[in-house]
Amino acid sequence: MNMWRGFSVLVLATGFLTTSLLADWEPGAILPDLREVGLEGILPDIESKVVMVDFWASWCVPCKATFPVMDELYSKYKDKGLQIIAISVDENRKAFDRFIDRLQPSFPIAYTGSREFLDSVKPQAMPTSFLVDKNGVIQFMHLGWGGNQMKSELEARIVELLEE
Amino acid sequence: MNYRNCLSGFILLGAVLLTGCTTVEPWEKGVLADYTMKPDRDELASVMTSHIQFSREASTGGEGVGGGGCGCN
Repeated sequence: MNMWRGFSVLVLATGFLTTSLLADWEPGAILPDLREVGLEGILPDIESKVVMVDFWASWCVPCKATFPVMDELYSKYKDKGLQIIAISVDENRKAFDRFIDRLQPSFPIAYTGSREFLDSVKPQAMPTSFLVDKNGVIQFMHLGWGGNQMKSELEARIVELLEE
Repeated sequence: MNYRNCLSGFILLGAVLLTGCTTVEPWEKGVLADYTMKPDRDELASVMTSHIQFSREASTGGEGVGGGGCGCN
């Protein structure tokens, strides 16, 4: 009886722990080395830079709306030390290629086909972006897209991190 | 004693079976977001369905006053 009970508790505890311990990307955490997570694409040097890592997909309409904004922010702040890296979570590679051909973003784009990597990031919405300070620490996480208000908020946080 | 054993067995079985349930994560919704998953992707079919609904359900108050149910308005 005790063995049954112990085993049941163990099964339930394992289920809860595997779902709660896998989120590595959250404010306060160190940004993992993106060169070691199997991303496809040319990754820029991000040392001593403020980095915005954006997770998006070609099928996500709000993600599409963020691209012109990211283009604008990148052209405005790249000389001051901002680096944007947009990582696609598309499962359909052709859809990803078509999207990039159409939008031609000015900032680096990467593609991940790794479900394990996304399981560790756990983007809570599409798009999800992480702002990382010059020391490589994730400072802010933005979920979804909220138009001009969110753009202003994002820009203010970028400026704040650039001035640190 | 047997009752407790059965209960523990059911709880354990339930826990094992629940692992078969999964949550579709935000980054896995590409298929759900596909155009073909839209229930109203065919505009003509949507208009016809709406017209039939309008005509047949008028007596219940569905979509306002829609005549006598002949669909000829």
